[in-house]
Amino acid sequence: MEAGLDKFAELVPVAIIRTDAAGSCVHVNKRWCLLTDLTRAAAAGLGWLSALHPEDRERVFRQLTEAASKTTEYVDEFRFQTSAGTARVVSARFLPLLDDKRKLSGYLGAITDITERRATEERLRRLAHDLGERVKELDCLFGISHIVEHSGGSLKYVIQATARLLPRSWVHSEVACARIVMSGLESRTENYSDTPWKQTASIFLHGEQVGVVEVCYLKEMPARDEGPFAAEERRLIDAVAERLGRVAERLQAERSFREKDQELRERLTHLTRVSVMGEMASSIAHEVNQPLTAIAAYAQACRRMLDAGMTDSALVLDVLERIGDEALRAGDIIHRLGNLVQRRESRQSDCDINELIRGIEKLALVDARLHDVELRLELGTTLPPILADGIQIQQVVLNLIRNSIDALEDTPAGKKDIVVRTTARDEAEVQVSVTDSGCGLPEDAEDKLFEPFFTTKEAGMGMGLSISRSIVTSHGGRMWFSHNPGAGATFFFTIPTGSGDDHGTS
Amino acid sequence: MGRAKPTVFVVDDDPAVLDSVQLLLRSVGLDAETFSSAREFLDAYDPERPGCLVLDIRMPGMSGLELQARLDSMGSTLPIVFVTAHGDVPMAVQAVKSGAIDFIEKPFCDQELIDRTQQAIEENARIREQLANRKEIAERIASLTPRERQVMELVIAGNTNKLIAHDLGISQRTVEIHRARVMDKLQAESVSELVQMVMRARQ
Repeated sequence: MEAGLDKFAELVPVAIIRTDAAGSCVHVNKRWCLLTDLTRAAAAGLGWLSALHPEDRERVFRQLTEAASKTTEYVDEFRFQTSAGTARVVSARFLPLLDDKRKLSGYLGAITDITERRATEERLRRLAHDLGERVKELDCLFGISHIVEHSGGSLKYVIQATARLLPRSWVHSEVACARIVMSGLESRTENYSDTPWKQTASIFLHGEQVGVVEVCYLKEMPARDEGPFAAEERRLIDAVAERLGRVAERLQAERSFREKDQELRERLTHLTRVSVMGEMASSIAHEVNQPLTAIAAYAQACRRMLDAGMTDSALVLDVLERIGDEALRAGDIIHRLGNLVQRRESRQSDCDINELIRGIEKLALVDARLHDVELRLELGTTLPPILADGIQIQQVVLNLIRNSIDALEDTPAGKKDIVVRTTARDEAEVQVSVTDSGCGLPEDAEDKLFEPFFTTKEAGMGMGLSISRSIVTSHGGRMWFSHNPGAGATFFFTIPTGSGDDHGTS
Repeated sequence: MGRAKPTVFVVDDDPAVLDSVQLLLRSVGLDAETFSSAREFLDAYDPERPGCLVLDIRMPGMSGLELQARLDSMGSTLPIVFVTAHGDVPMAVQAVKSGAIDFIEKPFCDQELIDRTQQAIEENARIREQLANRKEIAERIASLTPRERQVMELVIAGNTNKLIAHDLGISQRTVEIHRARVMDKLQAESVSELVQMVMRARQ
């Protein structure tokens, strides 16, 4: 029977060993010899135990002996070690063999090499673990991206939300807390406490440390790679710190871009304002020249009268007074001009729209009068204050008047009219319109009218309306136009009314 | 006539400029009248009054150039000194081409204004005298009888008494009598003076 068994054992693709009741080897098959690198002779008796890994040897023999005492099956996994030193992990199953008297006569062991399977399993396990950690990491980093996207450029918000996000990515999230200190800002989770079980990472901005990310465990946890923290967690906290550094860099760049953009916008606004002034220059020069001419003539007349021995001091004093008046008049025109031409930062405050328009009335009238244009103001009464940068609004109105004067160039004298109206549309908006009786607008101009560099004038820069509209839009208002039933066009714009607060800045 | 004191007519839309220029002109003893628009001046315009016009070139309503053209078409001989602002030079050049005395730029030097104004007043006096003179000669010529006139034409054409007598079929003696009357009526001392007078009247 045993011999038949042994012959049979050569046919199966497993390593087979047969022992007697004491555990001495009686037979091994060829595959066993191949697996263990032992000859049959060497395996005989208790020799087979030498194939076992030294650490497993004693345990296997003991358990097999125990099983024998109860005549039970023995199933286990252990290692073989070949003479070359390589370990093989095996799965073994020892079946008790009974004689005719149902007494244990030995064991038949079937041994399968599971070294590759185990290795694959281990790899898979590691992979699954790594993936788990990576997912946590990604989840955390993705969370930060999401936060940044919704931060509206606020670093404070980014730090707050990120600190809240961190603990759940740590293995012992239930006892984790976090704190981020950065660029003068600090945010901690509600449960934050400075404990000895702490993991930190520095935040750098342009190569300089600007802050730190901290994750603490509130109580001691089993030791891992770095205190109680896993290597993955080190990677993650470093990644978070690095990400925060980059976010700060980006926010800083965005802020500086916005500031540059704002500055460019203001320069362009100023440039257009100056260019409108340029278009008005000859009118204004003429207007300033009048008082200067009068001053010169008065002074020369005085000198001649005195030279001629005239002693009427009352007359001289009177003329001196007139000289003073004319000097003030010239100064006033230059002052008004200077206000409009000066470059300065945009400032919003509550303004009276009628007051603003009256402030430029004189300049506009100078221009209108020299072009034989009749300029009328129809200012509404009891209009609510608007929240605006007064000079920019004056610029818009002046620009519209200037355009209208140009549109009236070919209109016969006596029919050149411009009306500036102010009305309250409702409680929330004040409306300003500039109507002229001029040549109107070509049909195809409508689409492009507000585009930069579009102009119907020979000498125009084409920025006036574009800038005017962007000024109005930046105030939260709208700008549009309509064709008049008779002749000419009307341009409208609205500006939201003020808060009633004294001063706001933008 | 011609003996009335010349007036400087100042037209400018700016009251202070008008006032100061008037004061300046008066300080050198010139009479000045002021008008705040071309229209106002036209309404008050009297061709008989001697003087000159100091005119702002750029004014709302009727401009200085338009007033110049208007006066021209009315046969006015009033000399014009244009006052311009910086940058109006092309307009001023056109004004001078159209017969203006000159232009001065605002703000101007008093001496320049006074010199130009006086120059214009003298020019006006000269023209007026010339015109008056021409008018008087024309009146004298008109006082000649037809026959005297015939004789005068032939005399200034260089004919001798003998030829004239022959041409007109009258005696030489009669020609002499007509000729003496012509010289007397036209207050001419010599034939060459007579020729000059008639030429001037016929310009």
